[in-house]
Parts: sequence; structure tokens; C-alpha cells
Amino acid sequence: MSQVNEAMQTLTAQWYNALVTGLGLSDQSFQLYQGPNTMVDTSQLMWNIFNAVPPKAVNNYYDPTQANNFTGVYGLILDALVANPDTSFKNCMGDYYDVWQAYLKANKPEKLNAKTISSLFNDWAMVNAPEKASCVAGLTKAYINPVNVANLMYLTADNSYAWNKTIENLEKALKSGAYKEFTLNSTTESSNTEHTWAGGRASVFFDLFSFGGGGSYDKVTTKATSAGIEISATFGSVTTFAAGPYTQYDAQDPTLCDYSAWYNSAVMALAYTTKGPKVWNPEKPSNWDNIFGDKGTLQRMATALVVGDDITIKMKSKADYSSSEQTQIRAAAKLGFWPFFRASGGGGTDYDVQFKDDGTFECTTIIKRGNPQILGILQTPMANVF
Amino acid sequence: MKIKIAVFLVVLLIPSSETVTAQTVVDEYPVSLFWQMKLSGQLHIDPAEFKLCQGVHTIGENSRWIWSVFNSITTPENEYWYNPSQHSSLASSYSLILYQSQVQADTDCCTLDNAIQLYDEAQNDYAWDKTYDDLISELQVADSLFMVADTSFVEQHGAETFYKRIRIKAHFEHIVIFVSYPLSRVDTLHSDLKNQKPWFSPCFLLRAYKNSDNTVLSPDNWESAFGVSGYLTGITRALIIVDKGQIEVGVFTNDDEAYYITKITTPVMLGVQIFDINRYLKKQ
Repeated sequence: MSQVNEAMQTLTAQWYNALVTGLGLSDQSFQLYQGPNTMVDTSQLMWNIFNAVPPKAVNNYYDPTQANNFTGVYGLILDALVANPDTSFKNCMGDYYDVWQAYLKANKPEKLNAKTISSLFNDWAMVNAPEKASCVAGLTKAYINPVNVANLMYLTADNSYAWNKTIENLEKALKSGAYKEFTLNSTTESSNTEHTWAGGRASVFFDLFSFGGGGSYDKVTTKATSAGIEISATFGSVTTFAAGPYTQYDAQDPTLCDYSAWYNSAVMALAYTTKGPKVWNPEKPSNWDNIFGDKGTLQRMATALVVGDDITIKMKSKADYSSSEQTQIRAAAKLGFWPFFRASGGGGTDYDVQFKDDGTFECTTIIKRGNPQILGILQTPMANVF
Repeated sequence: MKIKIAVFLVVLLIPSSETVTAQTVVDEYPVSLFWQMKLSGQLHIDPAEFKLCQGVHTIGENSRWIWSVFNSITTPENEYWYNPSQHSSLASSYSLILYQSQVQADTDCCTLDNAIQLYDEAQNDYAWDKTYDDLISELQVADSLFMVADTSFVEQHGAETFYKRIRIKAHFEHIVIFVSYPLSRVDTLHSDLKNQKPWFSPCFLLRAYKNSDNTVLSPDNWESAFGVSGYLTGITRALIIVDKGQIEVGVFTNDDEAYYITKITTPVMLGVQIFDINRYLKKQ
């Protein structure tokens, strides 16, 4: 690993630890969210982030084209599950089954559901087969067959998959969020992230002054991190915002009322807790191991966003910079730098870089209220859900 | 590498002025664990059942938000953090149990057929027996809480002694343990509930749980649902909600000190109380 990558990995780990402690998070689920796309302003963008399966790393750069997403894997699971009809009613009825079927055909209720079919059956059984009255549950079970219900919901959504909270919910939550402040001193803050859920792995590398800057800022970055950085962070408002796949139709919500509920957790429970051919169709390409196994595509899910607004980050470097380095850093500020990498003036973000006579600098990043920034996500392993 | 450190606790809780002294061993990063332990003590909740929310969970603005939190299933394992996942719901898991239950002769009015009809009639719209208005009403009359907790850690590395101290000062104008259960009977008194259909038959879930011998569920299906790694082992019984207050955390070491301040101006969910399925069904 290059010197600059090592330095930034250390600083990132320190920022991770400071956020975990400062915001009251768990290092067993928090993942830093980094890069230039930290602002979220539409429900669809927010749902895309919830939908992306987080990689095993303490930080991540959200890639909107990421192929590994929850809805896609859920579709693969549905396709792979055995959709055997329940035979308990037929078995229970024995010789009476065909007689009942004929009666049902001739007397089909206008509205078919568990209640109407149960009522029809009970009336019939009382006269024709009192000893078979207890078979009724086998009949009504058909209306709650989880694989059938889940497939119908998923197909009805027609590739339009919502989550159960909207951007309006997030904005309201953020308006009611709490004020938080904390400090970080890179000479004393722990850079150990081995104890975290990701075992110290990082997935994104960047410079202090450039996201994917291609090395032009390596020298000043290394200089700053070597000499030590002091950071003070204040969040006018911060909230942890949980959401889940859209399970229950919400007619009251002005956004969600246009979407069909598409997710049924019963099939996920069934799929996750049963490995064999009774549940998983062996003729399908997807199976328990390649979905949930050690190298499977769905080992964890994004379950909450940690979002801040009205943010001020002050970063002091103790290194002294030459005039050319000062020019370089000032130029970088226009395009935005760590930890948010937002262009100055865009999305309510401003930078102020002040150099003292001794060459040391203090950089202030101000993100004005009304410009929510995703600071990270909370991920939950499958094993903690089902 | 996780570092084990000796802990000497001295806690001052106001207004009870209770002082606790203890010596134990905990892992690194104990601030949140210390906070969870002290808070559960103040609330008289078993620490194993009190799950601390990560960060600041501001509450939603309607009953649906409340029900979505109660509906989320969380595992009751040793982890003291609340798992906010809404990928597994009580309502869906309950339907799987109904579906997998054996068709059999009924001995009382708590029948599988009745349970299925009730569930099906709710038409994928599952409410709990309390509403947003209930929460706000209970919160407004709830007690305040003032707490100061202090602990010191000493870690010996050869000749060197490392010192760490944590001090938490918290104050909330109101704090409530908001208990609610799945809607199992018609409620015409609450405006948010008068159009909601009851969907839950606690008696049937209890029967399924109590019989692991193929009477209701096959042993395999029983294990998948209620076993050690089952999908229905822990259910949210209560939300711990506070309104207006401040949490100040100070962490002091040999060569550094850090302060973390949280100011709360609107209702926030601090944590939840999770019951294992056995205790939950007994309370129903």
C-alpha cells in the first residue's frame, strides 16, 4: 500500500472510530459512507442506497450501478423456492374431496377469501360430512401460502420496488434530529478497526484533498496526516433513519400510495432457515449456499441510514506548507475535500481555508441546513434478522 | 485485538443517590455499554432485554411508524444494541407459522381456521393496539430522569498504567416505556384503530410454541421458528421514548480528554425492550 493510502486509511479509521463514539453507534454494524454522492434528495435515491448490499468494509462509496442489490437477490430466491401446493386439505378429506370440489364449483362465493370459503365449507360439512369439519383449516391455508403470496406481490410491483419510508419522512426525522458535537485528534485517536464487523477492511481509497485524485495531492496529504490533524465536528441535526422493504400498502402516504407492496418476509424466513430440496428447488441455479453461504450474494443488508445536516467540520493541520502547496490546497477546496468531497458552492457546501504565518492551516467545511448528508449506514447480517 | 481491561465502577444516580461499586472485565469501547447498563437500571428493565438504539432515532409522525417498529423482529441475543432491521416482520412470520401448522380436530375455540381467517381478513394491513396519540399522551405525563454515572478503567501494560474514565450526565424531561401488542380485538375508540382489523391470535401462537412434538408444528418447523436460531425468537414489547433533554459524555485518558454532547429537543427513541418468545407470550 502506498504511503498516502496508508495515511488516509489511518485517518479514515480514526474518523470511523470518532463517529462511532461521537454519534453513539455500534462498530458491529456501522459503515462509513464516503464519496461525492453523500447527499440524498429523492425517495428513489434513498431506496437505491437501502437496496445496495453493503460490501464487508468499514467504508463504502455508493455505486448506483451496483449489481448486487436486495430486490434482485430476493427475486432469485423467489424463483428458486418450491411452490408446492399444500396437500393437507386433500389428505384430510379423503373420499369426500371430490364431492366437496363439485359443491364448490356449483356454489362459488362471489368473493373468495379465507372467511367466505370457510363459511361455505362449514355449511356443507355440517350436512354432508360432519366428521370432516376440522379439515377446514387445510382449505383456508391456501390463502396465506407464503410462496404464492410473495410471488404475487413481487410480480404486481412490476420492477418498481419501494421501501416503507420516503425522503419526506427522512427530512422530517432530520428536522427533529439531535445536536451532536465531538472532536478528533489524529495523534491520539485509535486507528484500530480490527474489532469492527468488517475486521478492519476498507473499500475506498482517496486523498485528503481529492476523491480519486490520481496522486496529485499525495504529497500534501501525507504531510498533513504525518504532522497530525485536529478535527472538531458539529452536527446541527443528526438522525438514524431505519426503513425496510415495502411490505404493507400505505394508502395514506402521498408517495407510497403509488407503489405496490412487494416484500413478504415469511418467504425469506422460510428460505433462510431451511436448506434442503423441500424448500429450494434443486433444478434452479440459486440455492442456499450461493445466496446466504460464506461467499453468497446476500450476507447482510442496509437497515438504517445515519444522516446529518447543518454540519461544520473544522480541520487543523500542524504541518507547515510552502506557498505552492498552499495554492494547491486552496484550489482543492473549490472542488471539495475530505470527508465530504462536495464541490464548493454546490449543495449548500462552502469551504474556508486559512493559512497562518507559520504555514499551518485550518480548513472549515460548512454544509448549510437543508442539505442532508449520509454519514454512514447500519448494516445487519442475515443471521441477526432470520 | 480486543483489549481486556479491569473496570472499577462508581455510579451516582440522582435523585435516588444510589451508589454502586463493582469490579469486572469488559472489552474496549465501553461507553455505550456503560450507558446501556445504567439506563436499564434506572428504568428497572433487565439489561439483557434492553436494546440501545444506535445514534438518534427520532420518532415518526404517525401510528404506522410505531407499528413498523413493533412489527420488526429482532434477535434477543447478547448484543446490547438494537437491530433496526425491518426485513423480518412479526406479522409475516406469524403467517408462516399458521401456514405450517397441522390441520387437526379442534378441541376449543382457539382454532387454526379462526386464526387464518382473522389474519387473511386484515388484508396485509397489520396494526398494534396503541397509536401515535397514545404515545404522545403517555409521554406528556411521563416522569423526568436525571442521572450521573461515572466509571474508571485501569489497564496495566508491563510497567505502564493506562487510565480511562467515563462520565455520563443525562437529563430528560420525560421518559416513557411504551408497551403495545399486536391488534387481536376490534377497537372502535381510537381513531387510528377503528378501521383496522384485528389479525393476531395470541392463543394460537402460544399453542404452536408450547407444542414442539408435531401436535401443531412439525419438529423441524418448530425449530426453524422458535429454536435457538429461529426466525421468531425475540419480539419488541416496548419502545423507550424520551422528550427534551441532554446527554453529556466525557472520556478521560492519561493524555487526552474528549466530550460528546447530544441535545434532544423532540421525542426520540432511546431503545426498545425485547422479550424472548416465551416471556412475550406469557405477558399477552
